[in-house]
Amino acid sequence: MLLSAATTALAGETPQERLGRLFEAQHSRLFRLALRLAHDAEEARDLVQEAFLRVARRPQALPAGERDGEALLVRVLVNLCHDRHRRRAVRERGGAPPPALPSDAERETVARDAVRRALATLPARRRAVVVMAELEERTTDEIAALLGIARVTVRWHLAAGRKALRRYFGEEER
Amino acid sequence: MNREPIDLRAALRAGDPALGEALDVREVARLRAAIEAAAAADTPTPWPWRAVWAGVVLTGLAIALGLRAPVAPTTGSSAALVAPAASSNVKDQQLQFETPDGVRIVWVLSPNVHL
Repeated sequence: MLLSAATTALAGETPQERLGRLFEAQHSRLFRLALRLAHDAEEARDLVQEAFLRVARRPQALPAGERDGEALLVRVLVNLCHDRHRRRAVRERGGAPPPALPSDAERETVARDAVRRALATLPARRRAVVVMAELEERTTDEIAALLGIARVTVRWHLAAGRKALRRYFGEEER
Repeated sequence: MNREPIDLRAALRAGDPALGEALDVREVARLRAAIEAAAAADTPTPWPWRAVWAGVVLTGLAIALGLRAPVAPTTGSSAALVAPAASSNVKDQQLQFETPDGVRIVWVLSPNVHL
């Protein structure tokens, strides 16, 4: 069977088997990350599928280690988010601002939309750094390894992202 | 006017878009099938870098050997034949480098060669 549920690196496995192992180990986590980075749940599903498909089209390029495989998927996902964010920004440039949420809407939905809109104000990579640090509670070292960037860059994105979000939420509260 | 600092983590968690969300079994199965199909599809043949580099090396060698081959003198005198060799105190220079694939390329630059 192509996709096996093994969770540890196996010597001599084919790229397809490695891909299957990575899928089993990472699809849930990647979906959660996509939900936090994407515009909505539908886009998150698309992003996860596209990320895995991109890796699946070149299985021989898949690294052997599980951490490296996870990092590859995360980078592909963040790049896809970046592309979509850029396209959406071009589409919405000059357009009307997003409609205000009704004040009597369900609290959970309101909070979720507020967080989505707040995160959407950040560039894709900065959003990923903030999500990984604040919601996934990853360390700076882990984030740097997953995104393939320097630790100082992670800290810089995190500081700028936090500042932007605080400003956003502060303005929302007024 | 003092405003309380915003607890960013709490604010994000309160509206975490991933809270309570998960791919259901059917979605996972559909995703798995799509990935299997993509992985099983014929992947395009990668560009033949090895063959290209081998061609570059062979061409370089052919050029180097061609440059080092004795050139027939235009004057026809025997002095003209030996003159370059006799006055050649400068040694050949080599330029060596290696491709990412590990193919070693050596270029020989000979100042004694006159085209």
